[in-house]
Amino acid sequence: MIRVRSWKNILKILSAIPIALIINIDSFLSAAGSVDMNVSRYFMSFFVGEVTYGDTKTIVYAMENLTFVFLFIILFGNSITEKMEFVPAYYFTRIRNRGRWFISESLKLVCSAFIYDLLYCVVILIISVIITGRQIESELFSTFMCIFLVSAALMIIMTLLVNIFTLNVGTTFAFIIACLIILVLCICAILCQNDKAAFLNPLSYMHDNDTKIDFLGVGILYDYIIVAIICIIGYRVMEEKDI
Amino acid sequence: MHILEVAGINKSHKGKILLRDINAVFEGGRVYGITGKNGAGKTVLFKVLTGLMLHDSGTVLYDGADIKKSESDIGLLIDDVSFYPEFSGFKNLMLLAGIRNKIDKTDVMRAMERVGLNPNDKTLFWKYSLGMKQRLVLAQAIMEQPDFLFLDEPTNSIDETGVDLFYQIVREEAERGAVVLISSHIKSDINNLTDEVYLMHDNTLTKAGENNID
Repeated sequence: MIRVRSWKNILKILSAIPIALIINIDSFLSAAGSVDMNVSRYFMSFFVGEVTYGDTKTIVYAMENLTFVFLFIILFGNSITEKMEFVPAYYFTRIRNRGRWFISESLKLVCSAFIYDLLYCVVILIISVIITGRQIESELFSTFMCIFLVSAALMIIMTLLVNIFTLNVGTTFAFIIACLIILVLCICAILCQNDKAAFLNPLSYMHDNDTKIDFLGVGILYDYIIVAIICIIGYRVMEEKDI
Repeated sequence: MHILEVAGINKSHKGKILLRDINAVFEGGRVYGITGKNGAGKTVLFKVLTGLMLHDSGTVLYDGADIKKSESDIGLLIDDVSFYPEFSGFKNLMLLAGIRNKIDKTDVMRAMERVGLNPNDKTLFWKYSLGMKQRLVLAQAIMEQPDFLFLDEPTNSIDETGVDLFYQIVREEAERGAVVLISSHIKSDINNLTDEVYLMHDNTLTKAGENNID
């Protein structure tokens, strides 16, 4: 029985591969044989766009490239809270500490997000290598890690938020609220128009100074701190939720 | 002997008092009846006692331990039959059994047979009749041989044969040493089954006596 549900989750995670191929197919086809950039930059172009703040070019995640993130949220958006929908009374008389249960379910979600994201990024990377036809350069590792970590953080933050809000307002409204929160953070960062405000924006992590891309390691750390805070909030919400 | 001690329980929601100063001690091997009008707070009381709802003040101790720290098995039957519709009854029970991992497939099958359901029946849960659903809920409540058994309006949708079977199961559970609490507004349930009766009225619990409800 539990195996049945595990298989469902594995299939959801593996869907990253066809998703990567299907949603980017037009880019692959139009770019074949006509790309004049290194693997790292071409790989990044599948995720990010460039925004200029004064003299600084900041690379931000482009909403139109985040389909795979939203698909993850749709696939896993009620993965934790579906237990509140079916058999809640009989499930939670067997689980006394609901807060601890939420944390363990969140960790499973984090693992799923990492594997899904890794699969997606690896597929894009392989295609980037094939299409550019170039050698893999030294900066590719840091580019890959940055994109991978930020995408995973975004998926985890959004999915946890959707799961938590679902408890009170239902899945659809929860999804809208989670999107609005990210949007508000982005707008705050844009209105502030300075480097430090970029930390507010979960979609912005890199400065491009033409010759080299600097990654905002602190920004990535900030995202994972948000993940930890959301887990603590979820812990409290689950502990105090009446069933 | 198992013992459930309830002291000074209060519960309110959005300014409305749901439970007021509930005090009682329930001992293993006995069947306790809780009766009262609809809306008197019987279901809320069961949810608070089983930890599904938080109480504002007071203590609930299972064999001396707070519910969150207690390892005691609790069986609950309430008016909630929302199992996974796409699975059979047996698969639904296996999912629940997997949470605490204390029983195996054989125990789940035995519990289903005790309530008169066929564990090999592949019928999906959404195709179950109301009576079958109620029997499945009872099976999940008793399958782990819980030390504490809470049954809220247990015979509501069961036919006459089912009611006899249910009475027999309740007696067997009490003989095994479990603390059994039954809430019902059906007088025959209370008269036929319980050793002690409590009355839930205006969100408070008072002892009505030794099985003499008229």
